[in-house]
Amino acid sequence: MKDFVRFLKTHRPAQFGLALIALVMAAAVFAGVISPFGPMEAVPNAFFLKPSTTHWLGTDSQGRDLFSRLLHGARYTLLVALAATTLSLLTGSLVGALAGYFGRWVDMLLMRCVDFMMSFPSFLLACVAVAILGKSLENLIWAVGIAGAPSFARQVRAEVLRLRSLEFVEAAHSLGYSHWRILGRHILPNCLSPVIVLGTLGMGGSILSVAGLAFLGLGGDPFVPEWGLMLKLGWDQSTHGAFQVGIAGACILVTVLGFNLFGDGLRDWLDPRSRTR
Amino acid sequence: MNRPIWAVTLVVATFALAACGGGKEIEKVEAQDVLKILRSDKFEILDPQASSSGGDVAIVSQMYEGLVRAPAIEGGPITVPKWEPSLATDWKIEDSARVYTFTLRQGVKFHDGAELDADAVKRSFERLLVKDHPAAPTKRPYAGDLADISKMDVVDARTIRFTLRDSNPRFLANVSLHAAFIISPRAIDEMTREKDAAKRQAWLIKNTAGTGPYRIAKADDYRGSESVTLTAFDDYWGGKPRIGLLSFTTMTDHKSRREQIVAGAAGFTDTLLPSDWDDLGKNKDVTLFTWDAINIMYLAMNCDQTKNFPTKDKRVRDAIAMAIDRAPFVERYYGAAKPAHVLIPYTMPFGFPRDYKPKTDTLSREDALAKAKALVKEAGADGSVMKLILPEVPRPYLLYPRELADLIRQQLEPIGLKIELEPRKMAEIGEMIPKGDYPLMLLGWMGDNGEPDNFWRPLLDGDKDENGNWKPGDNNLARFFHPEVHARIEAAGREADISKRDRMYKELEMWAHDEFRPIVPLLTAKKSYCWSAKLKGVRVDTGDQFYLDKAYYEK
Amino acid sequence: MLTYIVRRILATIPMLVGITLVSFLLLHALPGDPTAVLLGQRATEQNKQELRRQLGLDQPLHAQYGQYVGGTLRGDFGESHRTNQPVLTELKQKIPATIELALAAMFLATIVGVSLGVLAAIKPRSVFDFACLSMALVGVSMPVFWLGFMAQKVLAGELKWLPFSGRLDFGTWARFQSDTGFYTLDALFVYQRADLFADVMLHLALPAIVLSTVPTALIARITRATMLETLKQDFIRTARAKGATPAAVVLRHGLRNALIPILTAVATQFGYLLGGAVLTETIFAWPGLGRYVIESIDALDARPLQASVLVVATAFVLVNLLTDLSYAFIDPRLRKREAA
Repeated sequence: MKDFVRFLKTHRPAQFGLALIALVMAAAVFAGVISPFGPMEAVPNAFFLKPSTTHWLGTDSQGRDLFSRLLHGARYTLLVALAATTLSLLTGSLVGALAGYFGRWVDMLLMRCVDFMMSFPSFLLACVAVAILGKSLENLIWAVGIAGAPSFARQVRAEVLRLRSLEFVEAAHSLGYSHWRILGRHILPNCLSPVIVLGTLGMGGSILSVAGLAFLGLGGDPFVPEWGLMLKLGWDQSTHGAFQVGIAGACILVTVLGFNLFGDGLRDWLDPRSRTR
Repeated sequence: MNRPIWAVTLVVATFALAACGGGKEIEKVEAQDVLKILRSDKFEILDPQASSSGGDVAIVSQMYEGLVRAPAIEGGPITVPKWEPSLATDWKIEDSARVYTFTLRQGVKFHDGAELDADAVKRSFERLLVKDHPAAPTKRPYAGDLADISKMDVVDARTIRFTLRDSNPRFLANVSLHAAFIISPRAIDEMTREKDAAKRQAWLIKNTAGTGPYRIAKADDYRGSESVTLTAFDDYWGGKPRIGLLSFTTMTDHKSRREQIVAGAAGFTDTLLPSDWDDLGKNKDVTLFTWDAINIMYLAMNCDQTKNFPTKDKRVRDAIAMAIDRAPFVERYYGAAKPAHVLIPYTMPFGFPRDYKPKTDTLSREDALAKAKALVKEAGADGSVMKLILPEVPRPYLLYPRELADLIRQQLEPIGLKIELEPRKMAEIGEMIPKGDYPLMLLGWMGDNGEPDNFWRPLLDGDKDENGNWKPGDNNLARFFHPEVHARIEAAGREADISKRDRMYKELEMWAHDEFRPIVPLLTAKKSYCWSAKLKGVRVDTGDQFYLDKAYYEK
Repeated sequence: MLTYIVRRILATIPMLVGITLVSFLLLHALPGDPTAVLLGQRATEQNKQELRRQLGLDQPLHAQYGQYVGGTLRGDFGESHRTNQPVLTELKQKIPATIELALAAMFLATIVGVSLGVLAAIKPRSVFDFACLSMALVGVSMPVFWLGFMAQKVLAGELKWLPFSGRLDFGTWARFQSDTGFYTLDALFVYQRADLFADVMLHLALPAIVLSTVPTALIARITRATMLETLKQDFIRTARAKGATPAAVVLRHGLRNALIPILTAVATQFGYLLGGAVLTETIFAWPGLGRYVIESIDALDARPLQASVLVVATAFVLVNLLTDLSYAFIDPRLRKREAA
């Protein structure tokens, strides 16, 4: 922890990134408190109002307060991206760890599958997955989560391969510990740093993918205040929606930027090989 | 040689080659000789007998013509259906609307050079109607509308007589449909050579065989489902159109269409969102044309007694009808819609009971809600959960499907009904209807031919299945069938006297909703075209179609 | 080295088989009855049965797969439900459109990305370096569809510098027919018209710029990092000591030695471009493969979707194969082994 603070103190971009993330998180957590209106609360006959003192950013096509929706949108957007990234992280790490640790045919089989998945551009893979599963936000999570898993698998496998030959693992082997114990207690905790880096950067990627899919109309219920869906909703409203598109897109950009800045910083700190750069 | 010099030489040589000509000839079209048209939908089937989507029909209507055509919209409601001469200059209706004799226009040429005569008309109709016709396309979705032709006689080269199975005063309306456009006999010969129906249908994408003002001049003018170029037909009987080329491009989103038309990057577009109409109306660079179209958006309630939905109880259906307040629906259209209380839209020339409202719609809001609540309780449906099926993408009469469905959900909540929205693709909805596994569905209907029959028959009538039992038709969302309603639809459809028919439809309307309440009509939406202010002479007919044969640019 | 090449090529075969299998199963995995999709709102049950027979959907799965693979090998991808056109015909129009766009974006990304990266590396920690790094970061974080929206609004809508969308103004060039599928090549070599070429390029500009954002940013970052590393090396110092001009040092000695990681970065962007093209093509109504995929999904048109997935995945596998093989030639260790 002390290390982390020291790292933060010296790393400007990471500070900035963390600040952006904190801002968005604060918006997400306190959305209910800060926002003057409910995210679904429609003011009758008040469509596309211009920004004013009551509606700070105006209203949307339904007469709902844009500012409130953006705040609640932070919540949905972060949760969806977090769920997708966690899914990628868990499945990817599991596959990578098994492949790296057991080697031979397990490795062969699993990595073939990973390679196979990587033979489809991941965004396209997600599109097709949503086509099959059906259009909804939950399915977007599955699609983006699965499409993002292979990169975690590769990273974790490489890490496990490196660790497996190290002395302390050999020692654990000679003590007769079970595979699962060695994997769980000795190897995986040591893979944590690259996974955290990849996960942080993956958050940015997930937000972009989800927003992209929502933009393509694959996001299901368009009224959920998720930023990608809000952008799409504005897009479909022609002239009057332009402001909504602009502002929702800016929110996405800022959040992704935050995760990328912070992720890059973490990488500099946690990954000794890249630190020299 | 040094590498950079070599590369520069190559580039220079390329441009020198390009500059000195000698390539394939291509002529740059002057801006006043072309109209760039944006469409919200695609161009997929350009065979008039097989087309059904809006984009296809828009293109087909520039290239083909029927015996009669719908009149232009000239403001104000049309009270009597009238049909204008097109390929037929005159017609006679005999034997209480059972025999129709058309006199054909003289000197009409098809794009392929063939002459229009009675035999050509007959052969074109045969391709539409004869089962397993050797030149038929894969599907003929409107063939049913003309299936009552029992005999076609070529009286002489310029006269053709149709004999119908039964008297049908709606026949002229059906003959004006795009499916009855006349296709050249030479093209039919050509297509007969092709064994595969899909390839026959596709043949008309690369060739045209109509008599209309525009044609496909080269096979490559169809550039896939998003871009088609039509060329003026020199020998058009009405005179060669003044605008030489029509360049159709698909542009699905409203935003892009609006921006391009305002920026002058395109000259004509269909459907723009009503929320943009205000600004466009004030814009001096464009002409916004809006009209009261013949369509209805409604909430269908499943009446199937074999299914266990709460809506099978008429009390629940009445309650739903009472609880619906149309004002917020109309609001969402920015004034581009009018509330509807009966099946037939107010835009229909006849059969619309102007000052009538069903009993459920005449109560005050408070009374209606209280009564609806009581009815739901009485029927034991209090707290029941129902699915509402709606289309995923907007339809011309349902521009905001998700928004309007949500309004229904909000309005039915206070009377104790919980609604779950379920957006589906149109293709899936098409599958669901015959199965009837849904309590509520939000959709609508666009008139094909300006006839009340065209609403009653598909939406609230049915036909016999193979066992001789009556069942609701495939577009009957409410799964409603009643023998007496059926009998009255049949009778009105056969009646030749227009004022009698008008009364019959009105009476049916004033009886059926109170008696059965299968649907809640919600609204009739206006439609729009928008074009460059310089473009004059556009004709829009009561079938919502635009024509450019007399269009020109003002200097 | 030969064994490496052979093994690498052999390894792609199961991959390709897998791709055919997955794309085949798509037909059945898609929701909805394909026949209902084809026939639309006015379909009857009898029509559907007829069609089912016509499409061979009534046969057992393995037989259908056999037919599918056979058809694919012959270049027969079936017909689009919507247009009744053979999918192959449509692909012949869509694939060059996407390749043209992707290549233009790649070209832009490489030129701009490498130059920015090199310039930033020459004076690390300068204002210019900081600006480049910030731009690269924003670029990587950019939602492309949003950028496209803004660019279209400003450059096409307000300033009217560039056309809104599409590959060519078919109003002006109504008689244009593409012989190659690549409009740039058609304009240059078939029609040999500079004004036509200019129109094609103007249409290409906006989508290519938008699509190139993320690759440009990534390439700039990698170029900067590798250049920094390279410029620290001994041989650069030697070159400097020998009195080479600064430009020569950077370009001839520095960039040349940093080339391999940069080329790798360029190659790995290919997959991104195919994915990102879906969004860019949608915004700019670019009639390419990406939009074809989305439209097929929207219309539940299975055959085109199958074929596009097959084509994209195969292309991706082949590009990866080529990249790997080119390492075999570039990587000195592998080269030496051959010489020995």
